[in-house]
Amino acid sequence: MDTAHVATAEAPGITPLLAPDRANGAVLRVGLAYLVAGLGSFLLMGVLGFFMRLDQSGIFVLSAQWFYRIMTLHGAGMVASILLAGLGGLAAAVSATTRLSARVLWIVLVIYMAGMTFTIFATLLGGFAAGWTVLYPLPTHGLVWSLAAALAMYVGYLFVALGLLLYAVHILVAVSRTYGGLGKALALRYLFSFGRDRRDPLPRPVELIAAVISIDSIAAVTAGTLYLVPIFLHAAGVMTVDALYAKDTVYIFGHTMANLSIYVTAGLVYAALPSFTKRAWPTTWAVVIAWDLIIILMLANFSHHIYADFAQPVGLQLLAEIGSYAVALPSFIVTIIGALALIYRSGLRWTVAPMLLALGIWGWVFGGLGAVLDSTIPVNQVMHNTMWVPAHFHTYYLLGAVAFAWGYFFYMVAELSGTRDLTLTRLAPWLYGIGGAGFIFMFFVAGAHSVPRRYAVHLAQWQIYARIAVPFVLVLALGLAGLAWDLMLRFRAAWRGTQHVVGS
Amino acid sequence: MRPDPVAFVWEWEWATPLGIALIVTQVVYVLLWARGGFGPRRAHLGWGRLVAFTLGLGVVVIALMSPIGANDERFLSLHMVAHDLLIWIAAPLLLLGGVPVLRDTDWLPRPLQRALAILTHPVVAWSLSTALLWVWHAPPAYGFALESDIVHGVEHLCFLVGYVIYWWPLIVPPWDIGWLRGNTARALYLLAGMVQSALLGALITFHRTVLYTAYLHVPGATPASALADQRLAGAIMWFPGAVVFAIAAILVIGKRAPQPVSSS
Repeated sequence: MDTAHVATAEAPGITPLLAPDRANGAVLRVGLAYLVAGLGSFLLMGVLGFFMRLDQSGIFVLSAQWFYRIMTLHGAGMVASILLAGLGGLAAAVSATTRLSARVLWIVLVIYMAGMTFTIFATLLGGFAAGWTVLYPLPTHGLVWSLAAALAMYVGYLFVALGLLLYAVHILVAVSRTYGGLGKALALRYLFSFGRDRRDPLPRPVELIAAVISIDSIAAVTAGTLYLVPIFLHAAGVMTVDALYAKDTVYIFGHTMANLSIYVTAGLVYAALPSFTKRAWPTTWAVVIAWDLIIILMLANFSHHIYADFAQPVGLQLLAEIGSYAVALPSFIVTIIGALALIYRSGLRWTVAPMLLALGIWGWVFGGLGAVLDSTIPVNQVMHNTMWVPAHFHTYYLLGAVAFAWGYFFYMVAELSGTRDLTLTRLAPWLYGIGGAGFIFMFFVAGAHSVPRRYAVHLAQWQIYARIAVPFVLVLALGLAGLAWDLMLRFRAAWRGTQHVVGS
Repeated sequence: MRPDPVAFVWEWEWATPLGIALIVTQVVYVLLWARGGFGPRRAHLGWGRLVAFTLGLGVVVIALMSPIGANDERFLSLHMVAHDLLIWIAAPLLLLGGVPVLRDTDWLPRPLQRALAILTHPVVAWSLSTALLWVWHAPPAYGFALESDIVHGVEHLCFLVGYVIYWWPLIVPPWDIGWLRGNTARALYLLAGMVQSALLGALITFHRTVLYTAYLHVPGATPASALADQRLAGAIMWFPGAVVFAIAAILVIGKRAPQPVSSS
């Protein structure tokens, strides 16, 4: 393990991760804790996912009850884990220039993990198996799980939502304070003057993204509350709940949570990549409009999951299609073109972190394309209940958001420990990419052949796709093990790098 | 099986020995508090300490003598409320009010000092509190406690003492800069405490048969009502625990560990 410094912070316009006098060391420590908890949970949830794929291949058959329990936990756990890792990275990145409270972030972690504990026990012990989308009225009418299990699942979501709310409010207040108001944190004057009015200091892209993410988090939690309160009242026998209302509110909550985890981790690219390319990522007008638009567009596209519900108003369906196209394009194009421009002829040294960030960009592109196709109403009506859907979200999750989070973790550890990754570890992103791509490609192929999703029992002619996927999962696991091993070796030094700081 | 609400409220069970013990404890505490604590170094301890300790004893009274305690042999769910009150409310309050009265542990015999240091090590404290909570909720031990008032009393004393020890490293006394100085350690300790009690609560909630068979023999009880009561009891152990630990996180995380008291 070399001890040479990895990424430079000396180029103009690039903000080092550690603030002067290590004033943000305490926040960086929480950030590391979030990344460990988030990516650690991701690995455990990945093992569960592997069991599902083994079941679908007929190699290791699970009972239907266990398959659906695992499917429920895998879905809920993955969204929560990746979001947690992203939130940790985002807090670390923002703390370089914005004063955050490590205390609040630790409290958020305890509340968030309490929520995750509820979901784990509700599924593995309580047998809750209604899917992570907890679509009403199925959770309260389970034949193989009790109402207590459903309530435990909901309470778990409540705690995760409370943690997210506390985090979002804290970040929003902190960034607004730094720039003198929310409007300035969102660079609204600069936006509406088409980039001419530069009187206000512009936030760094990562701070702008943090403000955007926080606003959408608060909106998602509000929707979650509008879903959960009637559900709890229904469980208490006080009222009945309109199923379409429940479906809409739970999707505004859940779909936005899933989207948040992707956009949070995309924000990490803006924070880390400049350190490797030695070029600053400026807050341009294109960056501002792309990310400010996300505030509305991320909330507008949830209905593309409800195309099959004939009772849903047509207007919402059309809004979902337009919103799905629109949400993909600005942030997508701005981030990808911006990242490629930063990398082009920069003399970037391809260590593990930039390799993973680049992998994430391509995963995001292909996953996004799959999502745009699926959000097209005529396509959706054919493909929505097939493996095409897990294909697209696994692409932008596993090869996109998760790769971003691992990449940022490597960047943080390198910066804080002053060490380089092991030479052998540079194989790991390749294994990750090849294994992940092969695993996901088989979902796409299965989807194209109309293999249904969410089926515990697969017909013999469907099993071939999962069988081909299994070796790729093993390659992926090898890559992930390599990444985890390298981080474990250098983590202690990184942790020490945050200590002896002001405000610890 | 369902009690008459009005009669239920007035159904207090005044246990004379326990009542006397609590009164004596309160009187001794007030005297020590007024004196400024044990040992040669005395100081005003503040009204907050007195209030905390008194409230802690009040919660013990509510847990064991109010209708909650009076009916804990009829309803497992009420029994679990009593346990929750003892471990999550009374124990930290008694610790908050009681520990400063000790001033320091220098006046204690050396073996006792050493024993206290070992017991309040976070790993030992967590293990001990976990073991006590789980062992006493094992159906044979629980059934034994229901059969004998003395064993039942010992059970509750174990919970109280076990959780005073659990909370000790978090409510660090001023002379003892504990192991849990960093927020990472405090967060992990809180999560470890929450997960074990939540797991126990979840196992009770989701168990498909009646674990504590004594409740099948309560007049008016049926297997279905006993199972429903058991599910509620498990949820009472599980759900509020998360709230308690979240509040505890708000109270103890981020606080700087107090500086050691100078011996001069």
